[in-house]
Amino acid sequence: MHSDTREIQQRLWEKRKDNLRRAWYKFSGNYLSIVGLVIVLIVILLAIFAPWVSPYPEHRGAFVDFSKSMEPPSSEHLLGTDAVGRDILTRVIFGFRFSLMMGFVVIGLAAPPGIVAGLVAGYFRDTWVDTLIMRITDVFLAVPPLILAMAITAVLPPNVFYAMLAVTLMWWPWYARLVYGIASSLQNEFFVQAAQVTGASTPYIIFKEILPNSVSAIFTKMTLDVGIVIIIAASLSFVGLGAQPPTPDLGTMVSDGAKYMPDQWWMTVCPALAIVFTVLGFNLLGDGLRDMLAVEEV
Amino acid sequence: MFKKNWFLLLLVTVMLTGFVFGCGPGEYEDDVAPAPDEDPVDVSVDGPVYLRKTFSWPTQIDPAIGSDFSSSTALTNLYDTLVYPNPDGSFVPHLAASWDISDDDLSYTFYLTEGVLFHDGSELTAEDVVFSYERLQAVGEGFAYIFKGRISAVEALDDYTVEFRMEEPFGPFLSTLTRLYIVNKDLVMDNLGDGPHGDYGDYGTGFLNDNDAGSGAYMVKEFDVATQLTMEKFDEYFSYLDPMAPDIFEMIGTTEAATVRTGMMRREVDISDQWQTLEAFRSLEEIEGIDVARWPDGGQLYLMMNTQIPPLDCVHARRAMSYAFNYDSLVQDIYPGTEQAMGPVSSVLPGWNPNVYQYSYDLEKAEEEMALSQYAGQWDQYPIEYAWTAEVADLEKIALMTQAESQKVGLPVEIVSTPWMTMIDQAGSIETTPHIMSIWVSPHYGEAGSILEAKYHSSNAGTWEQTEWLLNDQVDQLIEEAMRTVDREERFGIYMQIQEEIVELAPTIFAYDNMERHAYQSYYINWPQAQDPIPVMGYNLAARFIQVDPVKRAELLGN
Amino acid sequence: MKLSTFILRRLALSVGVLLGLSILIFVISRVVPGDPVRLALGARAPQEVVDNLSAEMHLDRSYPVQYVMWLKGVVQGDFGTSLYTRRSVSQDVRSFLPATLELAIFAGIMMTFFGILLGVLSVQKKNSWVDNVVRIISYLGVVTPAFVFAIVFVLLFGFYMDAFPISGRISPSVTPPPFITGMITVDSLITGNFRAFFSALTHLFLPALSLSMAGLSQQARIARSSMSDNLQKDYILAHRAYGIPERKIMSRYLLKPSLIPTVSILGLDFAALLSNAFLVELVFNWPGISRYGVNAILRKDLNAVAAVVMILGITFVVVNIIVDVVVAYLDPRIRMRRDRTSAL
Repeated sequence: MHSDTREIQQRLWEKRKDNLRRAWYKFSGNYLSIVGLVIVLIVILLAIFAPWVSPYPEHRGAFVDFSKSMEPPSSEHLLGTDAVGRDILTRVIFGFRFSLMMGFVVIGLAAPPGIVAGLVAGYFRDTWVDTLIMRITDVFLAVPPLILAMAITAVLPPNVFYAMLAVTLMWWPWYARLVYGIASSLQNEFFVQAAQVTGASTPYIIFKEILPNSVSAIFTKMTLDVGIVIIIAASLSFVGLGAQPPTPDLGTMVSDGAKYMPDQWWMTVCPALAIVFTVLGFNLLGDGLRDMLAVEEV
Repeated sequence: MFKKNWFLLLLVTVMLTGFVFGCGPGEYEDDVAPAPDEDPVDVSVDGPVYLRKTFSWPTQIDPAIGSDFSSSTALTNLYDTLVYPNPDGSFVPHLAASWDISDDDLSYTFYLTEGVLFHDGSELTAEDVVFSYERLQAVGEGFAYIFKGRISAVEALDDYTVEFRMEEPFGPFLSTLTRLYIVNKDLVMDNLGDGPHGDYGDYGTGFLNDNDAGSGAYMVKEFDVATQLTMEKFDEYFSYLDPMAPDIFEMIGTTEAATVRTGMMRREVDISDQWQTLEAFRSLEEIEGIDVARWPDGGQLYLMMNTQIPPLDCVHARRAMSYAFNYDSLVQDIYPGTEQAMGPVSSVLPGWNPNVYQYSYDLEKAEEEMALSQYAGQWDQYPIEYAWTAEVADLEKIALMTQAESQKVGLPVEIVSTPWMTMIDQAGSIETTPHIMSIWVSPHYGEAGSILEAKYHSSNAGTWEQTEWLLNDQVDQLIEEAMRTVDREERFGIYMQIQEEIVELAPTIFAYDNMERHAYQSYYINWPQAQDPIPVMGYNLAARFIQVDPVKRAELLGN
Repeated sequence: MKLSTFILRRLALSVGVLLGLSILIFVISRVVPGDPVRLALGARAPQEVVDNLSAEMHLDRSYPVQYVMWLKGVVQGDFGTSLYTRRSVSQDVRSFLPATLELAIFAGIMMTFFGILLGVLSVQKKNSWVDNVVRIISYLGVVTPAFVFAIVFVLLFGFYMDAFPISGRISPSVTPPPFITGMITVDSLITGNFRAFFSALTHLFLPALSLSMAGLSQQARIARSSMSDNLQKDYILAHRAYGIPERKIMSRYLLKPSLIPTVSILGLDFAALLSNAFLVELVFNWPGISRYGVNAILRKDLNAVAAVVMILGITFVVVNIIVDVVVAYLDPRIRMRRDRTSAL
C-alpha cells in the first residue's frame, strides 16, 4: 500500500516532467517565442542589476552636469545625454525598472479580484449575482481604459502610486470577463456536476475545480497584458500624470525629450524605442505561450 | 516554423540593432534647415497685413478678470487706460488729458480727452470710467485687488470730468491706473446675462468673455477659445496708430516648440511666445531674418519658501537654502545673459535697492547656517518638497540643480512637477503649500511697491505670487506706510528699507532678474518696444506701434 | 432572435451601461481634492464671489442631489460651466468635437482602407516579401504606443522631409472657412475654398496616420488570417477547379465573407482610436475634444472632464451598437450569442 502510493506519485511526477518537456518543445519550436523570452529576460535582468550594469548609476536621480548636456550619442554616452547632462542609456535601464514594476504590480493587483468576480459570476450564471457583477464590468468597459485611468489620475496627486492605482481600477474587469466566459462554460461540465452531487462546497468547486481549468488562459493574458499596461503607463506619463522627476521613467523621458525636437532627437527617440522593445518582448512571449497552451479565449 | 517567421525575427533584429546603434550620430542634424515647403504660404503683398504671435492659453479678455501675461497683452490692445506708461516707469496722459490732485492727496480729478470713440462708434465719457471701476470691484477678479479698500468713491462730475476719492493717501495710485481698463457701459448693459449682481446681472462677464467693449487700437474679430484670438485694427483710434501697424493681430494659443519653430521658419508666426527653451531660442535665432528680443521684464524667478512649516520656519534653514543655490550655474548654463537678482526687487524696477545683501553660492556658509538652526543634525527627518511648473521645461533643470546642490550639504529636497493650475490650488493654504515653489512674478505696475505688496504683504498670502506666507507684522506696516506715502522720493526710501528687512528674513531665494525673450522676424518687423521696453506687463506688445513690412516678408519667402 | 428584438435588447443594455457610467463619472469628478471654484477664480477673489459660483454649480448641496441635478442637465445636453473657458461646456464641446470627429473619421477611413488593402496584398502574395513587410507593419502597430508613432512621424515627415505640416488644422496664413459643420475639410468644400481644403487635408494626414496605425495593423492581421482561413474552404477550391479567374475569386467570393471579422473588430479599433486621440492631439497640437479633455484633466475642470468622458462613452457605446447590428445583419448566428466582449 505504502509503496503503491509512492509509485503513483513517482508516475505522476514523471508525467508532469514529460508534459513540461513537451510544452517546452512546442514553445521552443517557434523561434520568435524564444526571442520574446530572451528580450523579457534581458529587460528583467537589466532592471534588477541596473545599479551595476548601467554606465553612470548616479545619473538615475538628482544629478546635473550642464557642461555635458545634450550631447549626441558617442562612445562615452551610447545614447547621448539629456538636457541636464545625464546619460540616457543609464536612465533607460533604470526606466525599465519602473515600467516593469508598473506592469507587474498592476496585473498582480488587478487579476485576483477580477478572477474571483469572473468565477463567481460564471458559477452563478443567469442569477442576479451574474447580472450584478457583469453589468458592473460593462460599465467599466464602456469607456477605453486609458481615458478613465486619466480621469482618475487627474483627481489624484500625480505620482507613480496613484497612476498604478488608476490603471488597476480599470483593469480588473478584463479578467472578470475572461474568467466569466470560461467558468460559465465549465459550469455544466460533468466534473463540476459530480462535485456538486458529492456535496463539495461552493468555494471548493470554484477554486479547486473551475479555477485550475482557467489557469492557462489567465496566465497567457497576464503575459500579454504586461505589455499593454506598460504602454498605458507610458501614455499616462507622457501626458504628465505618471512618475515624477527625477525618477527615470520612459514615458516621461519621451515627452520631455519631445520638447527638444528635432535637434536633440535622441532624447525622445531612444526611450521611445526602449518602450517598443519591452512591449515587443512581452507580446512575442505571450503569443508563444498562447500557442503552447493552446488557449483560444485570450 | 522558422521559415514562416524569419521576417519577424528580422524585425526583432532590426529593432535590436536600431536600439543599440540606431541612436548613433547621424547626418540628420545638418538637414533640418527649412526646405521650401509644400504647404501653400501666402506670398502675396496685397490684402490685410497680419501679425501673428504665439502665447499660452488661457487668455481672459474681460478686463475685470484677466491679469496674466497673455491677458494683459490682449487687454492692452483692446482697451485704453487713463494714463499710459513710459519706458522709464513714469506715465503720460492717455484717456485722461490732465488731472488735479487735492492738497490732502485724497481726491484726484481727471479731465478726459474728448472725442474718444468706442469700437461701436459711441463716445467714451466719464460715466464709462465710473462704470468700469465699479464693475471691476463687483466682479472682483484680475487686477481688482490693487484698488480694493483704497478708493471710497468714483464720481462723474460732468461728461468729461471724473473724480476718484481715496480712503487714505495711495502713493502709487497713478501707476496703478495702467490697470484700470475703460469699458463701454451702454454696450455692456445691453448684453447683461443672468448673474448674482442684482440689476447688473452677470455684469456682462458672459458677453465680455469673448467680445470686447473697448476703445483700443484693435478690436476682437474672432475669439476661438483655446485656439486663437483674432483682433483687427480700429481705424478711428483716438491716439497714435502707426501707418504700418498690422491690420490683423492674431494671438495663437500654443507654446509647443515644434509648432513655433516650423511657424517661424515659414514666416507664419511673426513673434514667438516667451516660454521656449534656451535651446529653442538659439536655433530660432539661427534662422535667417529672425532675432531674439530680450529685455528685463521687471520680474524675477522666485524660489518661494513656505516660512510657516518646518524646517523652513527657521530663518537659518532658509538662509542655508539661499547659500546652497547655485546662482552661477543658473545665469551661465540655464539662462545665459541674465544676472543674479539682488534682493526681492528686479534691478530695472524704480524703487530697487542696489545696496542690499546678496546671497552667493557658498556651500560652506550654507553648512554654517545649518549648524545654527534648531533643526541641526535632524535634516533627514524634514524632506523639503519643491514644486515646479510642469509646463515649463527650463524650470525642471533648476529643480534638478537645486536638488543636486542641496544633497551636497545634506538637505533632502524632493522635486515634484506640478501643473500650473494645481500650483495655484496648493498655494491656497499653509498646509497644502509645498516647501518651495519656483514661480516667475512680474510687477503689475511700474514700481517696487507692486512687487513688495504682492509678494510680502499678508493680505496677498496664499496667492500664487506669495507662497512664502511671510505674515510679518513689521513688513506689513512698512508696506502700508509706503503705500500711503505720496512723495515719490520718500516712498522709495521706505521701499528700500523693506527690501533690507526681507533679505534679512530670507523667505525667498532670489534667483535671477527675468529677461523676457521673444523671437521675432526682425527682417520685416520693426518693434520699437523691443529696443526700449516698458516695465509694465503686456504693454510692450501694443501692436499699434509695431511696423510690419509685407513686401520684405514676401521677399524673404521668395528666397 | 429577430433582428428587431436583438436591437431593442442591445439598446436597453446600453442605457443601463450609460447610467452606470454616469454614476462612475460623477463619483470620480466629485472626489477632487481642492476647491474647484477657488481654483477657477484665484486666491484674490472675494468670498462672496466664490460662494455665488459654488451655489450656481450646486456644489453646496448633498452628493445625491448634485448627481440628480447633474444628470438632469446631461440629459438635456447641459454639462454646466467650464471653469477654464468660462463658458458652457456644451458650447466648448460643440466647438472642439468636430475637429476630433474629422480626425477620427479620416483615421477610420485610412485604417479600414489600408488595413484591408494590406491584408489582401499579403494574402495574394503569401510568404513573399510583401507579405512579410505587411506582417512586420502589423506587429509594430500592436507594440508601439500611438505617441511614439506620432513623434517618429513628426521627426521623419515633418522635420526631416518637411513634407507635411505637423501642427494645427490649417496654415495660419490660410483663412479658414466659416463654421458650418466644424470640419474644415467639409466646410471648405461646401464654400468652394480649395486653398483651405488643401491646407486642411495636408494637416490631417500625419495625425490621422498616427492615430490609425494601431487599428490598421489589427485590420491587416484579421483580414489576412480570415482570408487565408477561407481560402482553404471547399467552395473556393471548387471555384478554382471550375477555372474562375483568381482575381474574381478574390473580389467576389473571398473578400466579402472575410470582411465579417474585420467589421466586428471595428468597435475595438474605435476604442483604440478614441484613447490614442488623447496622445496624438497633444503631439500635433490638434484643437479637438481630446486635447480639451487633457487640459481639463490637468486643470481639474470638473464639468469639462465629466462631459468629455461621458461623451466619449456615449460615442463608444453607439458605435458598438452600430457595429453589433451590422454584424448581426451580416451573420445571423451572432444574434444568438451573448453580447460581445471588447478589448482595447
